[in-house]
Amino acid sequence: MISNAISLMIAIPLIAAVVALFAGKAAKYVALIGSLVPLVISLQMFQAFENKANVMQFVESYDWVPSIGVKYTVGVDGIGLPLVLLSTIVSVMVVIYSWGESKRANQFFALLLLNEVGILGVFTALDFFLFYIYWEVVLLPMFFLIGVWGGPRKDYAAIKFFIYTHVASLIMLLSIFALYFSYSASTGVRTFDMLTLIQATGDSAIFSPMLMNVLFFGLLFGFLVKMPAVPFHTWLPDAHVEAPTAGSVLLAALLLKMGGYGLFRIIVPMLPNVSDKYIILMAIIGVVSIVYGGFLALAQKDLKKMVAYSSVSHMGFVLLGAGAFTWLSVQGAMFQQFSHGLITCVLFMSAGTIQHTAGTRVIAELGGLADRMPKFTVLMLAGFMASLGLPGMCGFVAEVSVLAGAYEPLPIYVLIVIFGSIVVTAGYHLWAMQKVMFGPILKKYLDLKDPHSYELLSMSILIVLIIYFGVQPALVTDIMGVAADQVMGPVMTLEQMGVI
Amino acid sequence: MYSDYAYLIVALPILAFVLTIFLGWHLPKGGGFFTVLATFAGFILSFGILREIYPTNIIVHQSTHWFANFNVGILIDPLAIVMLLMVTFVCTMIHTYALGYMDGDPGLARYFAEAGLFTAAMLGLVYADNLLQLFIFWELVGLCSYLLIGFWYRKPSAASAAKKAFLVTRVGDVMFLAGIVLLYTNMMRIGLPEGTYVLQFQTIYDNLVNIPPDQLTWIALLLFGGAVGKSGQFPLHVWLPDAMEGPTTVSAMIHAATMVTAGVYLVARMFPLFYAAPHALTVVALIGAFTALFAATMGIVMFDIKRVLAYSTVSQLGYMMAGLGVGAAVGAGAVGVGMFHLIGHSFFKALLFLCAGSVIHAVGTNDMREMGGVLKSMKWTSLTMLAGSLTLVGFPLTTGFFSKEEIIVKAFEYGTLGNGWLPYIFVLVAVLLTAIYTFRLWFLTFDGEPRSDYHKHESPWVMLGPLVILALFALFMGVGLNVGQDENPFYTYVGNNFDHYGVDFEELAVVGGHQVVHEAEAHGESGESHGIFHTIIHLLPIVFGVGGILIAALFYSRWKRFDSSMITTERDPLRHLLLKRYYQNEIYTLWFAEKVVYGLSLLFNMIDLKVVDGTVNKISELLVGFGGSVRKLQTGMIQNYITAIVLGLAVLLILIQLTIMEVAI
Amino acid sequence: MTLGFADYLSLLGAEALLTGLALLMILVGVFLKNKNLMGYLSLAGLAISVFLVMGVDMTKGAIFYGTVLVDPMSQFFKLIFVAVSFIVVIAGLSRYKDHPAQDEFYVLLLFATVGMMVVASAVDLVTLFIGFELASLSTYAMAGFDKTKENLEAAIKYFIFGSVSSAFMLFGFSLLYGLSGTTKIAEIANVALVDMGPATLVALLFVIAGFGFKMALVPFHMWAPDTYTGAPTIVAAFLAAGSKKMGFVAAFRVILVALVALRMEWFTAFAILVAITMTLGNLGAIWQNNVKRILAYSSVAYAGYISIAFVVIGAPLSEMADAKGIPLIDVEGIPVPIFGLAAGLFLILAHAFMKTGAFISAAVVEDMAQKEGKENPNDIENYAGLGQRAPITAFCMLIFIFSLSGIPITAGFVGKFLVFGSAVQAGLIWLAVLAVLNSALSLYYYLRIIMYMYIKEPAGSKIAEPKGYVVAQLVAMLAVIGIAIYSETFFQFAQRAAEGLL
Repeated sequence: MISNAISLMIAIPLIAAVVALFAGKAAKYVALIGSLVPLVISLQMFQAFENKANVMQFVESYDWVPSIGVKYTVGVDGIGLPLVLLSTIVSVMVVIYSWGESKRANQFFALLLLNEVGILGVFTALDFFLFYIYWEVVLLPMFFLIGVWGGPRKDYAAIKFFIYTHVASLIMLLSIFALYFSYSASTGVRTFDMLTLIQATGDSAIFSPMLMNVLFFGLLFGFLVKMPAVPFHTWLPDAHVEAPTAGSVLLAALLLKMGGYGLFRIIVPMLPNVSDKYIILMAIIGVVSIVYGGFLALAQKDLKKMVAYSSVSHMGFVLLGAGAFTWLSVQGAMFQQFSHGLITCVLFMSAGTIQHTAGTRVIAELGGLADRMPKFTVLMLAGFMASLGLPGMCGFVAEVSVLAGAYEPLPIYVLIVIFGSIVVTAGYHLWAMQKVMFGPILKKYLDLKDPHSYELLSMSILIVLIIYFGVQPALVTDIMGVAADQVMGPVMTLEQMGVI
Repeated sequence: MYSDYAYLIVALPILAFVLTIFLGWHLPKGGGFFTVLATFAGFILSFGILREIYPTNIIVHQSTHWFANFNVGILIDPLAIVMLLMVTFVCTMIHTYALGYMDGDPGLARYFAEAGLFTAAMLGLVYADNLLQLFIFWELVGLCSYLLIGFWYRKPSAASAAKKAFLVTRVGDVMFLAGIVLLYTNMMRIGLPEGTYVLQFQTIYDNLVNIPPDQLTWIALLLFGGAVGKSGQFPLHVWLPDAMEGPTTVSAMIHAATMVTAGVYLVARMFPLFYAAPHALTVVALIGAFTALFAATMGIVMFDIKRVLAYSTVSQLGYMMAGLGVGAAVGAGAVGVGMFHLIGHSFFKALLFLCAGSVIHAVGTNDMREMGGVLKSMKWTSLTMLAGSLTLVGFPLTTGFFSKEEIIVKAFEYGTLGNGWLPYIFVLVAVLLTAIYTFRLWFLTFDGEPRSDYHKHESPWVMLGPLVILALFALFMGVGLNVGQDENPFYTYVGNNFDHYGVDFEELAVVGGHQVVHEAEAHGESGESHGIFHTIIHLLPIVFGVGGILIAALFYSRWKRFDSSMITTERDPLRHLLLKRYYQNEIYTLWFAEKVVYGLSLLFNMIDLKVVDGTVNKISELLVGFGGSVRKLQTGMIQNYITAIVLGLAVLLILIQLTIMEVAI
Repeated sequence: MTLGFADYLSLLGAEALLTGLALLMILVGVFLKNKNLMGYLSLAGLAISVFLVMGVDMTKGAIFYGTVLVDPMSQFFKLIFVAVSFIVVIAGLSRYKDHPAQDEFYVLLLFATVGMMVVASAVDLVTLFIGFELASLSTYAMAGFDKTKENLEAAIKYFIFGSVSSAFMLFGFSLLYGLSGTTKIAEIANVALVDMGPATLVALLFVIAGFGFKMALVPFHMWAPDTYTGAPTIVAAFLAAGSKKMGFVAAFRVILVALVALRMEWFTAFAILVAITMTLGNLGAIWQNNVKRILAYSSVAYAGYISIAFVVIGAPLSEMADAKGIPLIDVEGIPVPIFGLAAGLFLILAHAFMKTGAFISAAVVEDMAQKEGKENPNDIENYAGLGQRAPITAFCMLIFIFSLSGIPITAGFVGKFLVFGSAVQAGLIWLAVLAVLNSALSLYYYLRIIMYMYIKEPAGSKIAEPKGYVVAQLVAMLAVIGIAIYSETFFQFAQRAAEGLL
């Protein structure tokens, strides 16, 4: 196994990004290579990862700013690794899908790579300082992707996205400070080490209940906005509607997962140390997101906006699972992150393809496309089925796990509401499918044909993965199961893990 | 040794699916023979397995870990094997028939691919060894149904029918899922040892006694909700008639013979659970019986030949449910009864649909008013159809006779045991109506004179062959199983299915809090004690059936004496009610879906834009606006600036003074 | 111990060198035809003095009868001043190429720099005032250097304001002297001023007013936007990055000592002042379309962020803080105030570089626009499509703006990180939250500039970017990023400076 796998995995896209910037026409090849190598590395890591071992693996740790206790520490466990895998997969897919991008191509692909850098950093950083840096870095490429390649109201959308999420990050930052200083004040050790600080939250001598609550909500807010959970979701539809397809895919498939990752890495371990009232609170927010998102999706006229709201709804399952705080639900929520990452790609790619072939995304104006785009229809249908939770695809596994796990701690009516919304979910997917693809083809679309092969390729690979992980979820759920035990039990620091 | 290859029963059709979808376009007949062969191979395997496990009480069980504490596995017990045989056999017939029927359709390959996928899913459903897996295939058959109903997706009606079918069944499926979740939770509460697969049927049967009765009732009802959706029971039956938009072979395969029976199969499979929750079982009985009657009433007025059959299917499924439902009183034997009608029905209803298809194939319309006199041109079709109709009505010595008779008698016993007479009355009256609409159909279609100029020709043998075979089964299976032996071996074999799991119905009855009644006693109650009465009970259905046929003849046949206009007029409200199908479409689709749900979503949307996002934008506006006013301070006039400084100093001074005092205090 | 002339020279080598150089340049300047040499001359001088500044032994204590102190604090600031002038001179090489009076510009610049360096070292009110005036007078002249209408207006405003504030300051000093009978800051601190509350307050107020003017704290900030906008852009850079910081070092030396002495309960008042400064600065910038004004207001806001240091120092020192039980001493031995001050210093360092850079980038655009004959060359419209028109400038500007808005991984980020952190540590949550929100608010106008540079379509063809500007920007950019990556080194330095002071 390569040493410094993680640093390597993060460094390569970064270098590739710079190269791509000056590569001109060849940028896309650079991007492809620059994203394939990390994929290979992450697969290597996935191979070498010890499933049952409840420890951080591939850890690297170097001093950076010792006088304030900042270190460069990275490593992955069952929470991070699947998401790393997801990120590398999705990044490659996006590059393939955008193969035809011609507008300022070099910058475009450079940004895609930069995004991968940030995302991978977030999922592997084990030092709050580093974590926060990556957390912020991720905003930049997305800001430009929306701003430069976006739709008519791109300025508004880009700035709204940036500022809204940035405020959330800053609030989170303050909580991190509070963690840091309270810890160093009472133990005399200045450290930004995540695991140490999170573990310390269990020590009421260090963190007074009042402080803990403030901390908890500060962090939670930061993650809820990223997820996004109702009512902090309104930046998402705007961003999605204006963003280019690649941007939307990255946004929905990866950026939203940062919020969920934060939940599992930081919030869930803290839950027992604050108050179990919050378990219900989080679950309720999750449920509201599920239902509210579902209904909003039903109301949308714009296909892409519908998909965007469906993301809100699906990420609600993550929050619900994390909040319900049972082994199966937490594991399910983790898997929901993974599966939604894959599925939503297909949905946004479908929306994007329809946009640039038919020239509109307004559902009412479309019709009968299946007649001219059979291959694409199959893929899109598969994607939609996956999204409405059809068994045999990974979305189902995740949702069933969450629901089965979440019933125990929750009042029955909550479940009833969710089950109702599942029907609604099926409703808007099928409705859109029928309106857009089926029925007699409209005159103006008679000369459409299947989209470029690279778009079909990326989509079909994703579909294959969706089905593969739907049939073989154990590949990742086993890891997640261990991780679930780990986040629900007391946290171990790197020292206790004996990895450094 | 066959049982070692059980997995092939599902694997082969999937293989066929893959082959057809990728190669089918280049092959003759869209590569349909892949599907036919795969399904037939499945039949051979199933038969081989039957030979291995019958009549011994061996069951085939293979299982492996899936994820978390769930597994995937194969379970072949009497219940499963009969279903396997039926599905593989009927599907083989129908696929073969489709080779002729669907010939020339541009989407032929797609048809056979989807058909293959469906077959696989259906078989997977049948021999799943745990509830979750069953649910998975349950959903997959739903998907295939969606795809096949929408096979002619360019037709708007087909597209929307497909959507409707998926959504309505989805309602049921969600209840099913909720049931699973509830069951899972309860199983977890029991605290099973590490590594047990929670949702395995064996595990469930073993732990039923540990689950609180009220929970059991809820679980049972939710599961039944799933069955209601899938098997088109009232009130979720609305999708089934619309599903006739698909090709007739699809209607025959999915919406008559196999998929729609999945609900019944589920109830049968979970019978111990239902048995332990008698209230749920009562609901099953009532809903089933009511559906049997309710659907029949609508069957009478329809003119679309396929819709009539669709309603008849719904009605017959009602019979099966009723048959299982009365099990609360008559014990596990009910499973045998219900399943026997299921199997028989699959044969003759598939037959009927295929015949209808054959007719439609020739006539080119579904509307019976434009048919008539088909008998002359299509002998084989007409006769096989007649065979099917007779057995559907339950004409003595046909298969339908034995199966339905048994259900009615059981329903009667159910009444005698003081569980209420409604089921009995419903199913009995339904017999009459069944006879009427069935023969109304037959006479309208085949009898009399042609009412439109359709080109008359018999269908090719690739289509007629399956008809004949199915007809033979429809007519003689019952005789073969019943005559010459005191007890129908099917009942005993399937009825004792749960002995293999050591399910103790005595115990469950205690949990359920009701009297266990053994077959014998039940018979004793109703039978030998007053024999003449018993005979009457057995004769009544026959009387009703034959009577129905006569009525139909008098109204619609060549010997017709009356005309429907004599008993009903154009604006007869009852007639309207029936034609409008009790206004369900209006209530479900137009009112609930489009008004309530969609309206709600619009409301949420407005809230989102105005309130949630509104606040965000308002805040930013506020700040930016404030910035505007700040800018005005910057006048550029030095004197203003100096003033500002002086003022500022003064204010600062005051502030400091204040804070100091505050400290001093 | 007594120090010989050599020691003095070694301690104040940089000042000596620069003064000598300036005088020499005046003389030579009279005779030279082509004066482009001057730029390089002063550049060399500044380059050398960087090493001289860093090279000195900072343990010798006060010299010149205890009026001048060479300690980490002073060297820290001198480094900033020299570096800033260094960058400005590089830019000047392009800006004033072949300019008839360019030697005067460099001379003034050097004198201003020396003045600031004196202030950095001054531990005596009189010395401090002299340094102050030396710097101010030179910068007054520089502000009007181009003699355009805006220049002169800016210069006048700056001058009047400067005089007023000097007056305030002098009055404050005289009061302090009257109360304590000495001009040595350290001794003033030792005299128990607490008894004479009101008088001390007035004295300190006036001193604050004097420094606040240079720091551009509200309400003494109003000259800044006008002057920065009117003055030649690179001069604005020098003012914002250089002389502003002079205000801070002076404030640190005087006010802090006084505060420590007074155990000022009134840090709350100061906190409010800081809060207002940040908020007004940002709000003021939101509506501007003139980029130089935006930068000006942002530097007002930054005055606020940096001044958080004062509050953080004051807070724990006050009884209120003690009552609240906020940890005065952090067990690792860095007292909260020192951490706060170090954070403030770090932010000052970061701000010096990024602001200089930003203004120089603005200068590039300004020149470009002037060539094209736009009537208001600093309008944000001129930045449209800069990414294509002047890629290097645009990219540098991008980095500077990210740094200003506190985006990783830049000096500005680390600086804000530390300052906000220290606020949290000192228990000033409300202030930290406000600062954070302000930082978020500032994004609004920073992002607008980026929008124009990279998202709007180009307003013209690609331009040749003047070499001097390019080099200057690159240097600044490297500094901005380097400081972030090697923050350890610089934070250590700042921390030593802080320890030295408290």
